[in-house]
Amino acid sequence: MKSQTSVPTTKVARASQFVKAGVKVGGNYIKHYSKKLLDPSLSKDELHKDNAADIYDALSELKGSALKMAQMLSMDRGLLPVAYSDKFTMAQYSAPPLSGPLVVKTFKTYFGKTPAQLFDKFDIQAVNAASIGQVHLAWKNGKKLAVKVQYPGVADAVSSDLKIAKPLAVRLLNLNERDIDRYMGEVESKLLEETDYDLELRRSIDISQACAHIPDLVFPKYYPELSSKRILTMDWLDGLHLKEFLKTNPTQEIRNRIGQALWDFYDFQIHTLRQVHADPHPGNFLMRPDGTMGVIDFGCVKVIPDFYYDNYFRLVNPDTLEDPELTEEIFENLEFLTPPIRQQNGYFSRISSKK
Amino acid sequence: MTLMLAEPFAVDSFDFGDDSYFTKVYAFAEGLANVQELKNSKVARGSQDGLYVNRTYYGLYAMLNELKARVTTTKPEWLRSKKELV
Repeated sequence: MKSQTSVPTTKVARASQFVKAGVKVGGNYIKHYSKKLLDPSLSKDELHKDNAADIYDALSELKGSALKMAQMLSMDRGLLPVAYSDKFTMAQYSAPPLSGPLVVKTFKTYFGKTPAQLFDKFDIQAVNAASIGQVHLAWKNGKKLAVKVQYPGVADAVSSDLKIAKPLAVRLLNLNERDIDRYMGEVESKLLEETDYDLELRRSIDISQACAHIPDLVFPKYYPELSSKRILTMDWLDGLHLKEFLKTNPTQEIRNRIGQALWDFYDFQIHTLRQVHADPHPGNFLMRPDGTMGVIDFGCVKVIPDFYYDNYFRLVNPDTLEDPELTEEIFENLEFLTPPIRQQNGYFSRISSKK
Repeated sequence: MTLMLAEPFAVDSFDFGDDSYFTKVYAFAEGLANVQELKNSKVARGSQDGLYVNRTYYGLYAMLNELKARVTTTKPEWLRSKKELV
């Protein structure tokens, strides 16, 4: 994979990435419609596929919050045309890595030392690139460590990236601009949290200690003295990502065991801790042949407000659904329904009867 | 959507390998996306707190589906139907 020597950090440079994607997408539409003239049966699938590829290319050069946005979209599989989500899934695994000199510079900025001075051995080639950082392998005192280094400029770019990305998202994904506005704030605050490795360090330690009793889960040990705002050091965990793990043909029993660990992990976080590792994509779980699983990356943690929790999970109880008034009240609390719309000719009952 | 996601909670053990469940969820989502009232609505729908909570469940279910795992869906007692007890 080709290393990047710099990340486009100025707003203009980043904006031009989006313009590039926009122009390409426009071209795809022209291509689509001229093909369609010749072959009216042509499905929109192909168009979606072309669009997704071009958007992905532009976003992956950008890294940072735009790439994170790609991840968000790919999580909502099923709400998007399949062609989009297939392509965006790639964002969860790899993006072009940063060059060695930039990595060393980051260490010097935050520790005043080079990686070689801090660790017994430090692999300057990243083993894995993530959305807002990349992972290096290192050794110290005989321990194998994973060191996450954040891409420079990411934190500063979050807000401006989202602003630039918004019109593109509105247009391409056929989402309502108002809906997007409403969620932008939430996404922005979460993304800013994710760029704060000090916060992630504290949360990682807190949640992994709280969940330590759950069977089959393995959490790495974190090293505050080797971590900073932009660098996070933890034990190296072995294991395979979901797709690679499935290629090893694990037995049904092992798959059930790992599935159970996943369920228990979320059950405990949501209902007991009321804060949750809100980034459950395959890149954050390392599965092993003995049925245990490593959990990494507490960058994105959603604290669930009590009011929301109570209403959301009341809906989950089958008894609630048999009580239309209660259901409607909860829907209003959750802001699914707003009073004027509710009055419109039995809107809710029509939606629910679609089920 | 939430109603569909609640299905595994209604039973003690759920087979996430059951693709028919996921097909149903996706079909339902697609149906919702085509409801004109939703699309043209002047108000955004769903609390912003739901964004990450729903995303979390999507991600979790999608992974369990790929794993084809059958899990015991442990849950707090108050989420159970009282009727089961009778």
